Amino acid sequence: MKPSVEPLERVAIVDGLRTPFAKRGTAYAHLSALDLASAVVAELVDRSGVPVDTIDRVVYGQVVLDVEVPNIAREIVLRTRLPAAVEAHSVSKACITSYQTAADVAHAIALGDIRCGIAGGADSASAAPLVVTEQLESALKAFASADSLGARLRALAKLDPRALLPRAPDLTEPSTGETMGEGAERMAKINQISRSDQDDFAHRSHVLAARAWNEGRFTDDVMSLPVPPAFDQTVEVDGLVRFESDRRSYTDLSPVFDRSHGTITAGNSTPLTDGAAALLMMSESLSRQLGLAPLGFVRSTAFTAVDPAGQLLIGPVHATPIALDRAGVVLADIDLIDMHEAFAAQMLTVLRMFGSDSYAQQHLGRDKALGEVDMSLLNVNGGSIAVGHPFAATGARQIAQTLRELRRRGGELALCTACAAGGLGAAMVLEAA
Amino acid sequence: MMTHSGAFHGERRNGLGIIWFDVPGRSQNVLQAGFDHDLREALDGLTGTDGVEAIVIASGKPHSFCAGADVDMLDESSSAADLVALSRRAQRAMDAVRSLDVPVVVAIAGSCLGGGLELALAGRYRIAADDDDTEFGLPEVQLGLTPGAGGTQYLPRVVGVRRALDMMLSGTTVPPGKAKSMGLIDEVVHPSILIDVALETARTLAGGQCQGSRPGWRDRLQEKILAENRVGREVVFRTARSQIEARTGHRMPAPHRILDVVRTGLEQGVEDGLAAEAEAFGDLAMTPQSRSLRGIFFDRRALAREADDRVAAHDVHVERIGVVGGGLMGSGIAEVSLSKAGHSVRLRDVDDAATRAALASVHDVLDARHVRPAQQARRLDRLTVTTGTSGFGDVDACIEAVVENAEIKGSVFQQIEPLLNQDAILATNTSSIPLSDLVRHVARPDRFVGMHYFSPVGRVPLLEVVRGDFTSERTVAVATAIGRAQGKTVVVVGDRAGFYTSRILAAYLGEAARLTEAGADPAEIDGALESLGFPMGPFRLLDSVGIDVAHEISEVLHAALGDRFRPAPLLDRLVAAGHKGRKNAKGVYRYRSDDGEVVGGDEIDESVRAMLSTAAGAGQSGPSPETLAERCLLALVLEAVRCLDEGVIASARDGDAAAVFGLGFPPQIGGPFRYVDERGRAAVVDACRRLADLDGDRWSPPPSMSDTDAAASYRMPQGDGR
Repeated sequence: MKPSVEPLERVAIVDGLRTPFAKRGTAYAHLSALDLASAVVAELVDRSGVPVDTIDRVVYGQVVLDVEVPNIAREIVLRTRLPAAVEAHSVSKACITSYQTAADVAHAIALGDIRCGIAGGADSASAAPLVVTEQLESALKAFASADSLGARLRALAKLDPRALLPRAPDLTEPSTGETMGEGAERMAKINQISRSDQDDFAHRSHVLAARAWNEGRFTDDVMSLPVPPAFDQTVEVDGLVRFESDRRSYTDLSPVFDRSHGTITAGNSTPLTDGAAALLMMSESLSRQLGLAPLGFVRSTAFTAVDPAGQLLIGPVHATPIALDRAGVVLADIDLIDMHEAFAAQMLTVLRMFGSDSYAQQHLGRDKALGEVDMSLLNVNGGSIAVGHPFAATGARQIAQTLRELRRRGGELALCTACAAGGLGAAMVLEAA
Repeated sequence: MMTHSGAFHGERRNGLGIIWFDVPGRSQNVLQAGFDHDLREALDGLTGTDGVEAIVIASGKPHSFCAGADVDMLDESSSAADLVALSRRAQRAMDAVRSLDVPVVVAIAGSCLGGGLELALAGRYRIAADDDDTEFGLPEVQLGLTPGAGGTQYLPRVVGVRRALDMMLSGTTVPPGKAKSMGLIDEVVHPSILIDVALETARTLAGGQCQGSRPGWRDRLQEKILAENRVGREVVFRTARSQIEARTGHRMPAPHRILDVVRTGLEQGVEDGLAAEAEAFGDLAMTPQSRSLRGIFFDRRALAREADDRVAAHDVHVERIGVVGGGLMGSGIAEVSLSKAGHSVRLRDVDDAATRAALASVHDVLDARHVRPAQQARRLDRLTVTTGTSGFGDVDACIEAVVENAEIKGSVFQQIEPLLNQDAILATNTSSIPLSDLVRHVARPDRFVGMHYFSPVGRVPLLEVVRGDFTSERTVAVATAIGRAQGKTVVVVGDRAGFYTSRILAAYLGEAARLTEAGADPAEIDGALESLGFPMGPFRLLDSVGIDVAHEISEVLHAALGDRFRPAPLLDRLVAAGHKGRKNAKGVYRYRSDDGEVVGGDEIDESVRAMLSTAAGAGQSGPSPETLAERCLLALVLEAVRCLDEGVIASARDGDAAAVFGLGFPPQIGGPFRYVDERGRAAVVDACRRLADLDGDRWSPPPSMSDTDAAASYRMPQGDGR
């Protein structure tokens, strides 16, 4: 008898590409997330050589939402040469957005819903919308619905002039009112992560990223982007990487979130960044049929959440064991680890908890810790502190970059993991092709 | 219940009448001889005793209301008097609609041009379909004619004299939205409800309740200005007159006559206006200008049909093209592919600065055409650039547009061809190097073809497709399909140095340069040819094409075709002195760079004057403007005849069309072969012989001209050879 469920398809990541990342308000100051996303998807499709009519779905995300582009994934389809028949949905899941888009595509392929899809994310911190004050908003709504001139004037008369100024939205946790930096500052204090260790870690990230650029390791990962509309420059390299990182310079910076007792500075945290990334994914059978050699395969995915009032950015500690279990492997089997660097304080906390039996017992319901992370396998080409962090693009960047590095080293398995606002976590075990 | 009368048939529906306009056996409606009779019969069937309450006029064809009068009909009429009578009959037919006792609503979907618009103007209420096919215009001037079925009288009364003159003197069309805002139509609705809304409106009008949206305050104001303000009217006419003079001087009689006829109608009333219109129509149709313009219209139509047949025969579909070389030509090709053909484009150039320049140039063209930002982004996202080799695997055609150098082109082919799939064609945008000199660098010669575009690609409507001996028919069809999709008139030419257009152009430019040796002033030569209707005289053209480019082409032609193409000494001197034309702000004319933009070009460059003075005979009073123009023109004509003799062009028709659409040869002359026909073959042969006696063998008329019947003609009888 034929089984009612066919064996699941292995999910191949065939290609991955990102734009160079740029500090907010610099090279891409006038580009929207959609502009960046369309550029990277168009180039990914062209470079990969995938026939456009084999693409079934685009799943894409952005975190800094553009009210005029509620479904960015669909707009990407309509702007690029992808056929209009490619369906698309958008995801917003803070800093793990493109983990979720990649997982969505992977799951749909595994289930046989689709054979081929594009996943990714883009953000323009430059294009973050301004918001009006609550007072102005309610006055404007009253004005719009008023039915007489008098009522209209009355609606506006009560306005405090200070309420007229628009403001930039805070990147705060709506549930706690705490900014992510404050959350990280809290983690540094709870876990007693020293300023000096944080600065060491940030310096390491820049040194490794600079080396990767210099050695040409990002050549296949990063496209050159001629910047519209004037096309007077082509961005080829990440704008934030310090190619001459000097450890001493980190010490001079003042703490940002707690000026008197804090340790988190602009130097040891990830900056606001513009950029986009995308992955081309398909079933293993389709990749064979098309003759497209995969970079690697998705072995497992895991998403978790903790109370953001606790350790906000602890996600990787929770998501990793689940992903490893699902992959049927242990941390020692992993040849390469890429962990999103939101803050050096968060990284050092997470790394400590990877090795903590007591954390495992209290919070993970496991007898023993996951194990110490071998630093020679971690973020070997730097991380978000150095290359930057366009929120929704980071996961896709990590996945493509890690698979190429895995192939370069001849390893077999890799782990990508990240924390996110809301206490979320994501982890993915990848397999070399 | 249906009543049939040829192109028009009436239908009764619940007390209302519909007149369906549907010319049998044609994809587009046109007004043919006898249409007035058909229309009247259809009207009679619906009116009189037991008549309908109101009438809707609509087209039975989905994408054509009426493209105008059948131009073929004009060539069957032999005299001006016949054509005056034809115009009178058409005017009366429109008046029959206008003077019906019952209201008439016109429902318009598809192009509504010329006689079609004149018919629409006869209705009381006009409703247009909101789609891309629907457009309104009186394009008669483009054929050297005046509207002949009342358009000159009724359009000014509906949209105001200034707008009416704009439309009639330019011949351009307006889309539904604009037509509504100028009061030409009353309502714009979705095509699927067009007939229903028309019937509803007809019923309301019959009840006397609806007066239509016209006349609005703006029209009333305009009417006031028209009727009561002679001064205002005078200003409008004077402005129009000076615009015509600036644009075409007195070369083209039609615009002047249109203006006169409109004025007669406004000053003396519609009756006199209509009489003047018919008179003008008959006169203009007999002018050589109109004959040539109509001929060119037929040529273009015939070439379009042939091209479409060629494409259909090979079942060709093109969605994506590659372009190698993003300079002026490459970026221009990319732009028309994106904007007109809707292709996606992969463009390669050597470095980031070059790819950026290509993107910027495409962007500038879109900007200049006021393409909306959303559309711009969409087009630009379909253009991706690379300095590498990826992204060419799924192109249907790859067009090389690098510098005019056989070695460089060859290395590009070797690099690009292996990237293409088995079905893709490889095209070269060479303007002079024969494919046979390039083919050794190509692995699959059957897929190799020439696609010669003209600068600026977005504006020059010709594509010369060069067929090598080795080029397959399918490959020619793919190149043709691309050109058609890009909106080009496609002429297929043979594979000899310079093909057709570059060759006749080189002969023309070379002659102009030689004339300076005899003391003629470049500005004077330009003036002589511009007054014939060339958009640019030879030296302005040289500056715009690039003196270095023209020189290179001359050398290629010199090597391949002999002495008559030896670069003129002036050209040698200009190149040696680093004058390249507008592109380096150093040409025959004086330019300066202003914020990166090249401006000027009003006066001859001083250093060029010095080069001229070293030429023999400078300073003497040179030949007359007529002689200057004649010599340049004859040099071009003789070369065109040689191309025909050698089979570079398949027909005189192709030669005329390519000269007009590719080089801006004055359309009212209608091409080199029509020029010979109009002037008379014997007269042209005589002129050439005189020049040969004076100036050498290169003027000897080819035997095909001199040894044949002096009364023989290249293009008569006219017609498009369907």
